Amino acid sequence: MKIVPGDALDIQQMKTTIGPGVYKNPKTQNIIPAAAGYLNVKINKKNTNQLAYIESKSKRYIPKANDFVVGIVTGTIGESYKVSLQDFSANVLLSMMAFPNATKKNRPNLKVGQVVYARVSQDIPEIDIEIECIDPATGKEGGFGMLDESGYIFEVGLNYANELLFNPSSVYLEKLASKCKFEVAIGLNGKIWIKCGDGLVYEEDQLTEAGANDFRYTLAAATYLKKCQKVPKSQVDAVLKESFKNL
Amino acid sequence: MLLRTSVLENVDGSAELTNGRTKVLVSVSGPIEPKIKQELPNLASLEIILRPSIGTANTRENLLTDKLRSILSSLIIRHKYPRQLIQVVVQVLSLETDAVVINNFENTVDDLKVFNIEFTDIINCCYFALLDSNIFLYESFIGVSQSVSEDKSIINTPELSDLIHSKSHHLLVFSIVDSKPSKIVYADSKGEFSKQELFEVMDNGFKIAGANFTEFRQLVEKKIEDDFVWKQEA
Repeated sequence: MKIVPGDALDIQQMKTTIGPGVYKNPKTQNIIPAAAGYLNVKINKKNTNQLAYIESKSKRYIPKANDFVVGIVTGTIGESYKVSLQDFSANVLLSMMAFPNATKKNRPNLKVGQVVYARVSQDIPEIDIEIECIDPATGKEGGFGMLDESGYIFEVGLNYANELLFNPSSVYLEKLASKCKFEVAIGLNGKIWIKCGDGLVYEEDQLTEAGANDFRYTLAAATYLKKCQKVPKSQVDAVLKESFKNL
Repeated sequence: MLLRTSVLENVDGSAELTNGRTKVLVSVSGPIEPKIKQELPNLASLEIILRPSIGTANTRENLLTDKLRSILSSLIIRHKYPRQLIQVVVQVLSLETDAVVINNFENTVDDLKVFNIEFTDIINCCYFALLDSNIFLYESFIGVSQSVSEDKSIINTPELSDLIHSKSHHLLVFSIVDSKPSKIVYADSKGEFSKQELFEVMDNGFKIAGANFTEFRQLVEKKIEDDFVWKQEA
């Protein structure tokens, strides 16, 4: 169901968890839709709890705890790295202790410009946001950490990034897999890091032929994923073919 | 009325509205990091920049900016974005009177009458741009313009020629709850009119706001579908 701000939120009276796009007015305690998009209401089996959220298109990322993000290191403050999640947004902090096996003496060595895949660990808007590179369940790496420099980063809409990361029946990445071997990190902040084959491979400071070819594939894959967010499903195959036609 | 959304690549939300010869482009960036002097500890600050179709911004644009700020700051949920900045840039691309101004007949039209058409479109365009940027709003809103002619008849969404021959003209902004106009968020009137006439204009405005919003809603729903192309059945 499509909803716009000002509409009545048509939900039953029960314990409700609100998600993106829904706002609770602290003065009146009313729950209102505050964004334009698709309203989703999910009720649990026991009929005691419900979840209400609005899926809407956005390009500006607002950090939320437990989101997976791709960030670029822009500097250091004391014991933390400053990480940029999006241009013109406030930087977030990545503690040097927020890596697996990190200690005061054994610190990670990140440089300005390097890219990390991380999880938002603290999201209070009044103070600095924090991210970390540890899987909280195991205390291990769990896929987080530095992303290698031979990949390519591009930006997409946040709703599309969400679709790619969380919808298991999404066809886009599956179709891409029919063209090449790739490694991908999708950040909910709209940044996607992708690397096809082995990425850029250098021999004696010279880019190898295989490395250059892999990078051509990387760029084609990025073009394909970017274009797909604007075309209907029926045209996806055509876009794939078009993006890879010179390879 | 013609609307295009997400027209600009490098801002968070944008909309372009064409209505007759008036064309307005609005971009919204935010919530972004503010300059230190703009930062407010518990709510988002609002920066509004208005650029005219011809020449540079002067006192006229300043006045419009202040009016626009008073409307938008009551509709945007600013407490949702503490210490952040929301930047709204309005670029008027063309105006009904541009041809007149170019031909140096600047003083033939009462400038405030042009306000009426221009400002209604700016307000409505801001609505679409704000939705496109996913900035939280308490309610939807719509601006309607009306004029009262010499014979006391009310003209809905008057054109420039209607305005020139009008006795008074009125701009009303309604907040929309459940697809129906709810409250008057803003009212701006100029000319000679009685209290009774103003009430009639408000009543009539209430009706056209409701009718016009049906069209707005369709545009927004179409936009939502386009934003989620992957949800559509092939």
